[in-house]
Amino acid sequence: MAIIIKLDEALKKKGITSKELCELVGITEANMSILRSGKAKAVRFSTLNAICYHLNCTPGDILQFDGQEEEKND
Amino acid sequence: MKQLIKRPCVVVFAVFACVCVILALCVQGSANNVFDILGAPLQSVGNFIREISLGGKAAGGWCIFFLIGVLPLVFPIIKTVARRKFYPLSLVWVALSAYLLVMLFFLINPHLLNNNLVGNAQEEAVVLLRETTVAGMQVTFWAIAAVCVLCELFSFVNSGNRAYLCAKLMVYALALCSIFAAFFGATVVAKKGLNAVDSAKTLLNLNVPLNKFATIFSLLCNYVPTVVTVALIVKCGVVIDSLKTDAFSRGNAESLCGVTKLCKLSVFVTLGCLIANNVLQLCLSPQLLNAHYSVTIPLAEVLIVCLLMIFAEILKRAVEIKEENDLTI
Repeated sequence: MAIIIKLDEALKKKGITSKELCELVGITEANMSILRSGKAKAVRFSTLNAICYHLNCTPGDILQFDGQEEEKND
Repeated sequence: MKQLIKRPCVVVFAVFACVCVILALCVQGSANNVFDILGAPLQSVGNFIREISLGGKAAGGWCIFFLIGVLPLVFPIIKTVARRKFYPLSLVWVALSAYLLVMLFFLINPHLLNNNLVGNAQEEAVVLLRETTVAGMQVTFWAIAAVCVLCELFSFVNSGNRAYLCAKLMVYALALCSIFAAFFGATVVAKKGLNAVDSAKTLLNLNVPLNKFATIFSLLCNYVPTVVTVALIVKCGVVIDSLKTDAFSRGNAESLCGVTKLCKLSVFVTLGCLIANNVLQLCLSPQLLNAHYSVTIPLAEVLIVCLLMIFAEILKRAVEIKEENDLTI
């Protein structure tokens, strides 16, 4: 995966649990798990906006590019 | 295929097929075609009422006549009373009831058809014309009854869930009609053929076993495509159930591919049986009492195969989009 999700560090910094963040953002725990595991195909701006607002961070704090092109599964 | 055989509807279809074969073997020899057999119940009712009326119980005859005539009104009356609302579609049942009364009147008094139809024609022509008119009236009755049932079904389909149920009912009704046409209709025709061969035994150079073999082979060539078609219909019923549960599951796309393959098999089996029967009739024609050739181009089946393949591709793509959407947070 080309984009790495660094939610755990942001959660630890903010001092809230993943479950609490789910309730604040309005997504299910299953979707949060998909996001943290890197299996998500896309993230809506509205979701990213809510996560950054509640974690008091920027998208760059939770999204990191590893410099590689994503493998295309056709 | 084993899972298909275990379904209860398959047992029902198998029993219905056996019943059709038994009825076909028991049907009277005077019945010339399916229309005579379909009209037999109505004809019997007319004869019964006439006998009662001529036996000095005219009042009883009239009572039975009106009771049977207003029977089609029972369903719309119950529906209107239960829902406390008048449905305009109930008028088709009123039309059916009115037609039934008129038809029964002519079945009870067939001599009225003579007076109304022909003046001074020969007796044979009069009888033929009367029988044709009676058969036409009976077929029209069943057609109007079918329209009434279809109208009720369409009025029942006013939501997505009911549409699935209606589709399943229509699919199973199609299976029953196919089974009836093959296992009853074709058996009656085969029985008449075998009787004709037995009657013509005294003809010189008639190979009776060969004629009987050709007749039974034709019958099997009607049975086999029907069995494959019914298997296809049962599979369609399974797919309709799974579409209702979750339309965009990966299993549905695979099931549709299975239905498409079964559809192609049905077309090939139908064509194969048709060709095999025609080839056999052609090869044995010098020795056959009656050679029957048939030309049936399954255009509707081929069209359904094409539409199913298109639908399967669309559903496959829709499932991929849905899975991608599910992974969009």
